[in-house]
Order: sequence, then C-alpha cells, then structure tokens
Amino acid sequence: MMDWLKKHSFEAQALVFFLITLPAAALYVAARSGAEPVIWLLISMIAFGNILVLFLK
Amino acid sequence: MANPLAFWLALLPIALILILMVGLRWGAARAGGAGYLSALLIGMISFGAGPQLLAYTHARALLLSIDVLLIIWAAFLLYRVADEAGAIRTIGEALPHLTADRGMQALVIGWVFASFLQGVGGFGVPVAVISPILVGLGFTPLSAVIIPSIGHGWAVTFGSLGSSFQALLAATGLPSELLAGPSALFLGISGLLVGFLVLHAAQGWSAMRRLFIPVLLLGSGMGLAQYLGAKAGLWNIAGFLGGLAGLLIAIPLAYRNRNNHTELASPAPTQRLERRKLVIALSGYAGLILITLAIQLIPSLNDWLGQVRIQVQFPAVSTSLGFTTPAGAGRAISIFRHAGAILLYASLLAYGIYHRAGLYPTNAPHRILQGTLRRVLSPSVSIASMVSMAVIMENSGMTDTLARGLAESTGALFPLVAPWIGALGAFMTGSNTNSNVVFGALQLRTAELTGYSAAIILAAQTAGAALASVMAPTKVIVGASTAGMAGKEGDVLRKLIPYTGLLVLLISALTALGIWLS
Repeated sequence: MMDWLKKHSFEAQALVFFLITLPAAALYVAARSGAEPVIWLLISMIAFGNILVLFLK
Repeated sequence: MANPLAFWLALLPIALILILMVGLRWGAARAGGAGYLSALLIGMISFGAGPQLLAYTHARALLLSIDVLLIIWAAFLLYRVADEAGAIRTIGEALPHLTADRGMQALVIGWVFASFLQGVGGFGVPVAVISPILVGLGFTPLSAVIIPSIGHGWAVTFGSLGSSFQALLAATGLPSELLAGPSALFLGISGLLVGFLVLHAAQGWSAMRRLFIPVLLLGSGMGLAQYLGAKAGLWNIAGFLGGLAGLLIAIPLAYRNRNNHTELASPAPTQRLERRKLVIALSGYAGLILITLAIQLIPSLNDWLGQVRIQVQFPAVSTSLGFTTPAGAGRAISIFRHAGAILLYASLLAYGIYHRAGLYPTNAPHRILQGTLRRVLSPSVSIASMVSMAVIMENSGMTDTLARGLAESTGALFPLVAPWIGALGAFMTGSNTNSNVVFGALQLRTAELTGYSAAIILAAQTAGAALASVMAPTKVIVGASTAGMAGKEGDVLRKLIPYTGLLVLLISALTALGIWLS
C-alpha cells in the first residue's frame, strides 16, 4: 500500500481532498434531518481522509 | 488557571502540529491531518462535542475552506498563466538593466520585485524566482536566498491576492473595514525596516547609510500604496499595488544611480532590454488592476456580480459541558464577485493577451492547468484539515479555554506576545494563511477577554505571521534549492533568525504603542 501511495501521490492527495471536503457538505443535510448514524458515517469518512494523509509524503 | 488539564488538552492539537512540522519536518498536509484528528478526539472525549455539533462544525469549516481556497487556486492559476508565457522571466530580466549599483540591485530585485511577486503570486515564488537572478548577478548563494526571503515578508498578508487576509476575516468573522487599516499600517512600517535589512544582508552598514534616502522613498511609497489600497476595500490587490508602486518609484531611482559603481558592482547584463516584450508581460497584470477597480468602483457592476451568494444558516449548538456557539449565518460567498472570481477573470484576460502576442508554446493550456492542479492540491488538503481543526476547537470551547488561560497567564503583556503567537503559527504551519486560520479566533477571543482592541491584536497576529513566514521550513527549502544551497538550509535559517526576530520585535512595539494610543 505504501508503494502505491508513493507512486500515485497526486491521485492519493486528490482522494484525501475529496474525502475531507465532500462529506462535510452532506453533514449539514444529515444534521438538519437528525440522522445520527449518517453523521457518524460521514465524520468517519473525513477522519479516514485525515488518517490517509498521514501516510503521504 | 481555572482548569489546567483542559488548557493543556486544548493546546495539544496546536502543539502536535508544531512538533510534527518543526521537530519531525512533516509537511503541512500531514501535520494538519494529525492536528485535525487530535482536535476531533479531544473535542469529543474531553469537551463534550456531540454529533450535531460536529456535523454543523464540519459544514461551517467547509464554507471557510472554500472561501480561502478559491483565492489560492485562482492566484496560482494567474501566476502559471504569466509564467508559462515567460512574463515573470521577462520582468525579472529587465530589472538588472536599470542599475549596476549592487545595493540598488538588492533593493530593486530583492525587495521591490520580490514584493511585487508576492502581490501577484506568493507561495514561495518570490524566493524561488529571485534567488537564481541574484546568483547570476554575482551575489553569494547565501545572500541570494536571504535577500528576497527578508524582502517579501512584509507583503505576505495582502499578497497572494489577499488570501492570508481573507483567512483572517474568515477565521474571526470580522469585517475587512475593521482589520485592513491596522494590519496594513503595521506591515507598511515594518516594510521600511525590511528595506534596511535587505541592504544589510547585501552589503552591510555602509550600503544602509549610502542608500538611506532610496529606502525611505521606496518603503514609504510601497507601504502607503498598500495601506491606501487596503483601506479603500481593495485588500485583495493591496500587496500587488504596493509592489507596483515600488516598481514605479524604483525605475527612476535606479536610473539615477545607474553609474554608481561600487567596488562590488556586478557585471552589466549582456542581453538587450526588449521594451515591447516587457510591456506585454506587464499588461497581463494591468488587466487585474483594471478588472478589480471596475468591480469596486462601478456600483451597478458590483451589484450585478454580487447577485449569486452562497450563505448557510446554522442553528445554535452546545457541548455537553454547556459551551454554546450561537445561531447565525455562515460566511457569505459571492460566487461571481469573490476575490477568486476576479482573479479568474484576470487570468482569462492575461491568457488572451499573451496568446495574441504569440508567447505560448503548443500545449500551453494543458501545462498551465496541470501545473496549477499539481501545485495547489497539497496546500488545499492542509488548509481544509487545519480549518476543520480550528473550527472544531472553536465550537467545542477549546479555543475559549486556551484564550482564557493565555489571558490569565500573560495579562497586561498580551499585546507584546500576540505577534509572536502569529509568528510561531507561520513558522510551524508554513504560511501566514494557516497561522491566521489556526490562531485568528484564539487571538480574537483573548483580546475580548483582556479588553484590548481586537483590530490591533489581529493586526499583530497577521503581521507577525507574515514576517515570520519567510522562515518556514518549506520556503527555506525552496529558496536554498534554487540558489544551489540544497542541504545547507540550516545556514539560511541561522542567518534569517536575527533579521526576522528584529522585525517581529518591531511589531510587538507597534502593538504596545497601538494599544496605548487606543
């Protein structure tokens, strides 16, 4: 996995960027409708994006 | 301190970023990710942030991120449009024709042109472009990195088409009318000292005495142009206006000193100056001024472009510990009147001008877009993470806890400390923008708690951050590599520390004076 990330750092950074921004927009809708499981799922996606970036150089 | 454990926990995300970036030399994107994760966990576990609060917090952070990123993306696009056409190189090559006086060369290229480049581009571009030019003129590699590094710092906040200032507005929610004046004043005054320090780095004390008047004229002209631009609401091009005013003053000044050959004068440039090429190169940026002025000064155009706005209403949210963020509208983004949109119009116009002049090689649009995308992706990730971290800290009460602790521990000395907090933020996060995002709300809250003027404290924050951003490891690495000093970044940093320390010290004194007078 580390090799893939090293070889495709641009694609990986693009993926991280979308993971930490797109769910944030959906979170507004989820919060208004009070869908707690969806909120946790979306926050987990953002957190995963931020974990992924730790492995990028 | 009421609750020391809460204070230290609230400090942890910021301290973590500092340790990772400075101690372990992580990039801003990775460190921002770690800072975000720690803020999320501490906010949830220790400060009682629940799912509703976190959901609205992330949505609010996204709006703030977009507000800043639009400028960064478009500013770099404009830079790539000009660079691909060779416009930056043409302007850079024209400057050594003006004078053979090495002190004047340091001033004109390392201070004035560096400030101009910061106004239109930023992102480490001034040092990367100017260091090789100075090496070519016979400056030592170390001086060639130090001179533009010090030279552009004062123009950072209102440079990069105002992205750092936009970040300060976004992080604090305060209007530009309140913050632009004091920020531009502090930076303008520090700009004068920057001129003398550039001369000191180039030729020592003798040049400072010999070129005292040119420094005064250039520094006053650039500082005043930036101040007037910022006060008039043109803060997105205020740094650019400062650099442009500097170039207009520098040309006759340098011409007057053209035969002032000192013992260290560099050889005269061998290539002939092509005036037509220079005019075309500058016209791309003239378009930016025209578009900005038209939008600011023609009310009907301003209103028409401002019709489409993104603004979201947020309800009040509370933590389980009782900290409440009141209901209110998030940051409004006028899609077609945003500083980023203005930059996009200017980029299209500049592309049209350069294309018509035949300056582009084949496949240029693809190279411009690809270069822009590759360059902006990493800062975009770091800004999105750090903005989210800062908003989580703010809405969960961590920033409030930090501010209260800071107010209690520094007390009356807080105005002296404020610029150093901004400087630390810029050094650790690599940019004035990031520092304003991370510390803007903290400084505002501390100013409110201590009763000091928020406008002056925030001016100290951004001025300290701008001047210290030149020492950020990423910028030092870029500068050292372009001057052939790769691997000797420690030498550059050691030489920069006293110059930068002196400048931030000046901001401390100005802040204390401003507070005393207010």
